Amino acid sequence: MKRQILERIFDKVDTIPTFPKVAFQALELLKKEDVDFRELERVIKSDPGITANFLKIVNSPAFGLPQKIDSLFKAFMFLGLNQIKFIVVASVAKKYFSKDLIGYGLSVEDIWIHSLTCGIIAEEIAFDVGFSPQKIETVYVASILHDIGKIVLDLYTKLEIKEFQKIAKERMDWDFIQVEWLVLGVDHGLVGAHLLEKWEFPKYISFAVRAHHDSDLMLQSDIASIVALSNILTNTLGIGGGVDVFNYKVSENLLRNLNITGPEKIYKYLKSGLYKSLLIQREFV
Amino acid sequence: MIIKIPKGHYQIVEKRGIILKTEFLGSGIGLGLMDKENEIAGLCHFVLPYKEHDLEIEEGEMILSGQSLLPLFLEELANRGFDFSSAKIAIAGGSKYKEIPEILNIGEVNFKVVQSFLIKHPINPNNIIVRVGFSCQSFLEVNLKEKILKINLNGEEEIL
Repeated sequence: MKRQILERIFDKVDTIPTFPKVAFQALELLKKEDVDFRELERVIKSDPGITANFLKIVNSPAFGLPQKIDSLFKAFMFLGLNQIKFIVVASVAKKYFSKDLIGYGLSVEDIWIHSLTCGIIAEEIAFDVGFSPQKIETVYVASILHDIGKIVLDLYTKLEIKEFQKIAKERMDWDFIQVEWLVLGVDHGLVGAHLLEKWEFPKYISFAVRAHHDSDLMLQSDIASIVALSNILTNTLGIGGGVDVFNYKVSENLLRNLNITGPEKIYKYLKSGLYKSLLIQREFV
Repeated sequence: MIIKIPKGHYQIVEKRGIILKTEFLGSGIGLGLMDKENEIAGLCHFVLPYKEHDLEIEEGEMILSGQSLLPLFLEELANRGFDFSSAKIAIAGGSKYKEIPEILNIGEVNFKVVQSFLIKHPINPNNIIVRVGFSCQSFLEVNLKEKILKINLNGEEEIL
């Protein structure tokens, strides 16, 4: 029975539309020393959905632009390169988080704002840790997409919700990964990583997604540690939620891995994450 | 009528069939109070503990920490004639991961802030329900129509 569920889950991975080439092309253009903004505009415009999301995000108060932006080119003039990269990734991810995840108890707004806030917090942590702009971008992408496996698993979580609740009650000491494995034979981190590998994302991004709830794996790369921490802080702020939230173990060494020794930095990340997420929510919710 | 209380805000209602609800509390705290006799009820929701965490979102629009929000909330209740000694009180939220470094247990810090303010009021300990620090999502509801306080822990409801 579980084997059948597992086969169906991995069959479903094949039905999820591939991560758009537009995003990869745009990120490549943004890596060049002299960015050709007309070319960048042409590339992004080729996908109307991404263009619409881009303009919506850029007009959120979080970016504090002095006027309403109605064209991509105008937006590029006001934004820094990193901001453009981040908005491109967020605009693409929005296409995937487009409906409620009923099995996980998350509305479309919950999962989208949760993902975006994770990205925002992760970016700040990565900057403080001293990552290069390239590596900050990697952390941001992994954080925004960390729950992408939930899109695949949602249907099965919904079908087996009573089994989830029963096991969760019987095994209070278990975390949600163990419950997912017992009921479905897989967890949403692993499915998300599988999806990203299929889309040919770099291994360190899929690994971070794989590891974001695994208290041992999250220590094995600094990118994975930041993705895990940004997810924890976002839930701490009450942004997201769902049936699995807080039902995980976190390694004592997570903060040590990132050289975070006192609460000051944690509150700094919480404060700026809350501030930016509230501004972005005004545009989307 | 249902009013959602955003993070860093509170609402007090009197003699009206209004339901106050928090969003997903996270490690933040929801504090609900109900004075059945005087038909006054209030709900307060904050996510960060200390004054230095107050946020100005847009000009004049504040998202207040527990330390800033709670005295305003409790003082306004008192000014409206709220009777703390007979009031029912529910405290929810402060959720935490199953095993977590102490620094990340913000819920416990938030709860201590609530305790430090509530202790100043003549509250009957038998009238308080505290559901803080669970490893799941939680919500709090104050229903002046039915005169109840309702805590929702991952779908399981408890009524006071």
